Amino acid sequence: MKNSYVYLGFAFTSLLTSCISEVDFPVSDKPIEEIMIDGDFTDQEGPHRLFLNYAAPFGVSRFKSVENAAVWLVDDTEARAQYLPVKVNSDTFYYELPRNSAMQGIAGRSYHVEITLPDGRIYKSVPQVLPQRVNADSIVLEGSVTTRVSTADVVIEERNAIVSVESVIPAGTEPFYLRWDAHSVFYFQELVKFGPFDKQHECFIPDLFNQQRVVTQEIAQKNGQKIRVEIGKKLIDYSFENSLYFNVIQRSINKETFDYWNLIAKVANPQGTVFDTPPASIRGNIFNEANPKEIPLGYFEVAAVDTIRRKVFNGVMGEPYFVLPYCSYANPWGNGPANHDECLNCIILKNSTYTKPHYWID
Amino acid sequence: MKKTLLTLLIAASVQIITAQNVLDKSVYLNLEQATVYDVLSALERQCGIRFCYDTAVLPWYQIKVVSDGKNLFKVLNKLLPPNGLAYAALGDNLFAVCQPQDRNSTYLKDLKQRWEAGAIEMPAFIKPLEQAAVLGMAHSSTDMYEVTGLLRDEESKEALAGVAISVGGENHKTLVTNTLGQFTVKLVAGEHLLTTYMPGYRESKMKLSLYDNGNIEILMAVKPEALQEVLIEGNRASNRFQNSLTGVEAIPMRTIKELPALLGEADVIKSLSTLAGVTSAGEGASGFNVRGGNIDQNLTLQDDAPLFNTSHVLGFFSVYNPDLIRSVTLYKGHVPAQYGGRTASVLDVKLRDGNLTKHHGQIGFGIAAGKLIMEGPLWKNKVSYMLGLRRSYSDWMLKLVPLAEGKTSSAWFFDGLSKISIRLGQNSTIAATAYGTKDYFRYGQAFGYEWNNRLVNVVAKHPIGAKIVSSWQGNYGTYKASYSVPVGINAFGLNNGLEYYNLGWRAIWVANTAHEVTGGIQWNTIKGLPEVLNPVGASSVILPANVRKDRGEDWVLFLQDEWKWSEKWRFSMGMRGVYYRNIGEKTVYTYGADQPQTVENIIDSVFYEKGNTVKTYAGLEPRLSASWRWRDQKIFKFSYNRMRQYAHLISNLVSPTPVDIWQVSNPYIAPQTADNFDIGYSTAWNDRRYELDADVFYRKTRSVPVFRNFANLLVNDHLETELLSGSMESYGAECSVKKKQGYWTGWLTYTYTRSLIRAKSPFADLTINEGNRYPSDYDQPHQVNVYAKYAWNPASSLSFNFIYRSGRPVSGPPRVYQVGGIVVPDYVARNNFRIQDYIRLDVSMNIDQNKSKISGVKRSVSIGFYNLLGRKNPYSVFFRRDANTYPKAYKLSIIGSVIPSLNITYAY
Repeated sequence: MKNSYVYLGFAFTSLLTSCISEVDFPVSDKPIEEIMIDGDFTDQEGPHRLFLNYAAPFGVSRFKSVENAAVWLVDDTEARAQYLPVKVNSDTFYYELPRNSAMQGIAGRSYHVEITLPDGRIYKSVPQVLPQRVNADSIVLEGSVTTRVSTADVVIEERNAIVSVESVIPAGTEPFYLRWDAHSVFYFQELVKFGPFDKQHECFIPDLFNQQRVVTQEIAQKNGQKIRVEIGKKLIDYSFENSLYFNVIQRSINKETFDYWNLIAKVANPQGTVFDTPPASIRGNIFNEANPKEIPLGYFEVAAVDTIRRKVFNGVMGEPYFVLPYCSYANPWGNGPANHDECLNCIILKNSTYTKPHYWID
Repeated sequence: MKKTLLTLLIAASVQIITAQNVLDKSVYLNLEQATVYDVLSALERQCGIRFCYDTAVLPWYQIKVVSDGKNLFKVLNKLLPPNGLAYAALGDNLFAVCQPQDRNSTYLKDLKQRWEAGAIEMPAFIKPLEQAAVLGMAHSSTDMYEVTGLLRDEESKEALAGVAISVGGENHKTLVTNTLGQFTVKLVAGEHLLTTYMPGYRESKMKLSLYDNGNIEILMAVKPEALQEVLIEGNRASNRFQNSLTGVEAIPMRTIKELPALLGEADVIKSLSTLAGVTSAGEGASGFNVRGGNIDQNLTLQDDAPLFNTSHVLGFFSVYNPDLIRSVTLYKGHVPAQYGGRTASVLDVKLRDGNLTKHHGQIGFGIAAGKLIMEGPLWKNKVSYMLGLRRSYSDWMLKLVPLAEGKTSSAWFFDGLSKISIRLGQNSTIAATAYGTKDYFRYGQAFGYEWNNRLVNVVAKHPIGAKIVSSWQGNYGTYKASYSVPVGINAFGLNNGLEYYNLGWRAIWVANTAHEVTGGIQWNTIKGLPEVLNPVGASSVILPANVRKDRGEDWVLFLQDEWKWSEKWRFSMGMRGVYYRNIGEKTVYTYGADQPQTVENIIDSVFYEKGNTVKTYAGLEPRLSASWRWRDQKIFKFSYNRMRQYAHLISNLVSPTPVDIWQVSNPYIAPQTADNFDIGYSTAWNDRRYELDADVFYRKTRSVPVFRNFANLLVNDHLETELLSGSMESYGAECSVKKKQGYWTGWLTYTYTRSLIRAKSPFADLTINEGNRYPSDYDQPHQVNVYAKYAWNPASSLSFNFIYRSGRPVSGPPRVYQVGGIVVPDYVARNNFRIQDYIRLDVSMNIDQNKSKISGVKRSVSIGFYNLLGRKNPYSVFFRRDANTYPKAYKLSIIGSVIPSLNITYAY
């Protein structure tokens, strides 16, 4: 009888877990000339950044920047402020409206961007009204155990922190449109070192745990009520061993921007199920006056922003989610190699820095 | 001891010598379509020998044996080993025929004893069903009298069309029964022998004493299922139409049951995809596609009543219960005028009637579902019932899945059908059917679907005189579906569906042997049920919505003539006239002049009260098919059909979900109109052992609703803002070769089909692929199907099914861009890339055990392996970037391994 169960289970597992595997996709080597624009302007003091690049063929991981362009922010009184070029390194180039620029975002006013490329092409964004800000109230964490099938067809159990944000919706007759970004920064302390000149470093490691997840929400008829929106989940691993900050940026946006991000969510985050919306090219809010047929890629977002943070410690979600020490020496006398290289050199962790974030409170 | 041995040796030597003499005898035979039993009987008569055998080991398919003087030894060696048999001499010109492994003294001795004791029963089906009829008092005369005959199934009493009747005697005649199962013949007074032939039935012989005009009834008995002729010809519809109409396919129910199927559930819809020109998007995809058409362009009927969702478990299985079905016919070329409302094909599924004389039942268990079938007389020869129930148990099996989502998921289906058939007098019948399906699917806490079909239909048939049969039909049905997200800030429940009524009258007039005219009137209406959206839970921010739906009503007049102009020429000519009304309640929106139909451009609206006419459409649909027979076995065919479609499944998915809307034509969504052309050629050779069918086809469909990019199709009162009116062209060629007799039977088909869409708009932003033709979701140019069955004895067979299809088109991104830190694939064109080809091999073994003499119960066992190659055929390809990685292409395979199955059925 037991065998029968195994057999039936096998049959249905095969059916229902289906499988997702990577396949080759033909990559074009044709140069791409389409411009992509990715920038924002908010009611915060800045700086505000705008990335101006060429799109890349599928399979190419680096976007070629457009340098020497003139980028201007224009408000509804035709006042102008320039985004200035910033070259961080050979890979990172953007335009920036500096902190405390003369032009500050004010709710109810409209803004757009004008870009003149070195070849004379001019792109503009559709003017957008900066919406009323909806403040975020708190970050809520809940533990969750999920299972998934690995690429080796092994069922893996994972513990995750489900990150939600709570907000009180202000009074008003019009619906509100919100979008969230979230990231975490965790604290990592190297093992105690015994050499006279060896320093035990402290590292701060940012983690864009929901980088590919677009979270948006339309809220209507909830005046004065508190809403809770799940904005992502973070794997509970050694990053939870010490302290960790969750940072959530809540953006109040207008309906056009909300619709745009919803489409991005559908295209960028397909689930691979039979119910996925068929993808298509997404038109943003950038246009070329001289050539209306051209569809520039990207978006210039005007948003009211509120940022909230929450610091958490090991076991904050209860005993089942407590994380055991990650680092230890290979021998009990506390010298020699450690079990992980980063335990003696935390800067090798991806995106690691010794610089403590400005909001970090010990 | 030595003495005994010597005696045996001498006896054996005598037998061998005697047998040797007999085996040298010359044999002259020319038997076509004979069974092994027939051949052995002929040899007994010709050579003065006797054969003894266990009838259970004889194959009952038909073979051809020709001998122009070869000796018996050679004839037996040519006859028996290829059919899995051997022989041994038993003395006194007595030969044993047995399986090679049984050729030992113990078995042969026992066989001889049982044979001589008469303990081996001859199966009843090898003898003709003998009957007699007397018309008038016997007298001596040469007067001519007219006899009108009616052919009926012995058990179900159904009239049998397409039966060949041979009238013996001096003026030998061969007749064929018409649609009503009737024939008329004038014969001279006296004794006549009428012999009837019909695939799947025992031969019937009627001794007719004819001395007056009159009516007779000839009964025919069905052969045991396992012994029926194999393959396509087993279906009456096939016989009647296949030779003269283009693109008509009929699959015998036995073949459907023997085809390897997912989890062993015999499936009408899935079995269609083994035919040329029929495909589906893959496992778990609902519906089927005919010659590149959309799923909604197929009219799916059950006893002439439409079904709007034929899927169980989101498309893994279909709602048709194979055990209740009498015939399955797919019209993919010529479609007779009585059918309409769709542009690509008609799937005509006819249910059986319950048995009028005996009670039968079946209970079956499989991996996925169990079934119960019961039928029998409520009033013998007057009233019968049939009941069929199926229930899946996948809900509890899901709990065995080791994923958390599996344990909190649920999927099950149920379908039930009951049918009462009443015979009123000689030829009048009333049949009432109630049918219901129910599906439930929930994936963890993420989402859930429920849907159900309800259908009631009543059909009354009665003759008007000897040449007309009139029938009335009424159908009422509903299709309801719901979609829910049970938890979270966006938790909601969505309900929608439709209800429909059909009333129709049809008359078949068999004017003479050349014309069979069918005419009728139909009233059909489809009413969308309100689409209701409600939030679930206090934390949901979803706003309630209620979208009222409009109604579509059509009045239809049709006339069809099956005209046998000569022995060479046949025509099927029809005309269907349709008057269609779109009826409120409905809000019709007005859009700004020279502006695209978008929500932003709505400038006004008009509300039409319930019952008010919103828009009308009307049109004629000519149907013509002509065939020309060249020599005996070569037929050239041509057909042209115009078809219109007034209800459209509005979906932007390859496999529609249960809540996708059926929208009737309205001011903005015109009826789809298709012109179908088909040129075909059929031939057979080697005594019809092999058949070849080839067709070239072209179909152009106008006003096809094409979804705009990112269309929002649910809870939408103005679907025109999400659609474009496109055109679809499908063309290609099909070729199939069938082997119909022998141990190995089956077919090989190859189809080349293109299915292209053009969706243009005066506004460049809305135009798809810059107004150029692009492949539809179902454009799979090359398709190869191989079905092979090896039957090593009458009740046991091994079936193989191989499918190859070109990968279907999907949209692929040639480039990517970045916004908000997210790398986004840019899909510059729709369906510009193809996924990998689809290849699948299935195998199944079917064993029908004989009915137990003690319990009267017969057991059938089916064991199968679906996707034997274990290929992970792609269902779709999508492009996704996981955290900190670059976007990559991934394929989703619905089935990633071999799926075994086991089905056991007990029947009494």
